Amino acid sequence: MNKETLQELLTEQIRDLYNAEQQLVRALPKIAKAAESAELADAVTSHLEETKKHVERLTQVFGILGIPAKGKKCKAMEGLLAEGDEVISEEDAGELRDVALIAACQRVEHYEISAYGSAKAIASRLDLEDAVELLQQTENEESQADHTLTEVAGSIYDATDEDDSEPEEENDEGSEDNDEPAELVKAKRAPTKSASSPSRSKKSKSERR
Amino acid sequence: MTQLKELLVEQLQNLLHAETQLTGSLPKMGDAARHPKLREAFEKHLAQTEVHVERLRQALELLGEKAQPKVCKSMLGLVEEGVETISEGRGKQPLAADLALIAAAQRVEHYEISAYGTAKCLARQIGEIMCARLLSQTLGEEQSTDFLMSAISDPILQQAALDDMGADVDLEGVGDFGRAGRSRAQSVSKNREEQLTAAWARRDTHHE
Repeated sequence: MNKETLQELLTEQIRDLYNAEQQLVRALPKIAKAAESAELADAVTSHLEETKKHVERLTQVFGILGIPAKGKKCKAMEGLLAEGDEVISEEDAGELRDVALIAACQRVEHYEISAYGSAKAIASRLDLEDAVELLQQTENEESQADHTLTEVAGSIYDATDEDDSEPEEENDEGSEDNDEPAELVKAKRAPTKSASSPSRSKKSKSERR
Repeated sequence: MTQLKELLVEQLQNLLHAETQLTGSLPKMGDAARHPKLREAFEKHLAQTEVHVERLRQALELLGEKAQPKVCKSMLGLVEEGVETISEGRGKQPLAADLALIAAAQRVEHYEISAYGTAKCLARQIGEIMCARLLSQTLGEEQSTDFLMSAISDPILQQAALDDMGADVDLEGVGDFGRAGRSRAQSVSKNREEQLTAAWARRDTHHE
């Protein structure tokens, strides 16, 4: 495999992302409008502004690759956004719908975190430092958006808790994450007790590479 | 409270549909993978995914609900992209095709990491601790798979860079390249892949 092949692969990834981000620019205003919580609406709106920047950065990456900025239909993002639409049309506005919207948005963020991670790894191998930098900036913002949404969900839960207090779970942190790939080969046919090591906080769920 | 439970049930039904779709598509990803390490990773993850389906059934049962899947459009889209990646990969060089498969697989893993993260939080929030534990176990396995995919792509990317420099690096000892040898690998790239396999073999030894 030579540089050209890798570059083609990078181009495909960037085209996929370019289309995905453009779809998102169209979809986020609808989500912000559907949000009942002001905190959620703000988070989505400020992510919309970021998303516009992400499109712009991808345009710059196309420039670095010396090719015209052109998207390739991203079916995964279509599916993700269709799920978001479903939430909006099936549920009545309120805290519950907000939680469901957050869940849908976080799936989108994770899609992007993964896609930018792949693109960045390839760009890095091609020594395209400027492209790596641009992709990294966006990836960081996607991760941050994911964390922010987790926090917003937390405050919505807290608000619901005021009417309804529940016992706190103390001891199930253990299986939260096991970074060691070797663990994964141990899947058994039947569910087993957690065999993983003690973990970090839940925020680590989007950390990778 | 009841509402949060309903939301959790929906999330689980959605995941049940997603995981079930995956059990159908992972074998295709595995067949398309050229490198034995990658093929093996897909096979193992298929076995895990079957366990994940089972855990979701249990989780729904714990909540007193039927294991009824709810169409997951996101996974439909992700799977469709995977199918595309497979067919486009046929015209690609083996390592490039594998890298594209890995990128597609990691998008799927991230979808699940996010979805299980949400479901687990909801389960905790309403005090369904056993249910949260089951979800946590699967979450950990999805994360591990994501890491494993990154670990597999690293040396492939390194090799791509070496190929381009025309470097002839002696990675000592040549592993069995077995089944992947029947791919359309050119002799040069086959040699590279053999070196890669050897590098992996050493890496595995190191891990033990």
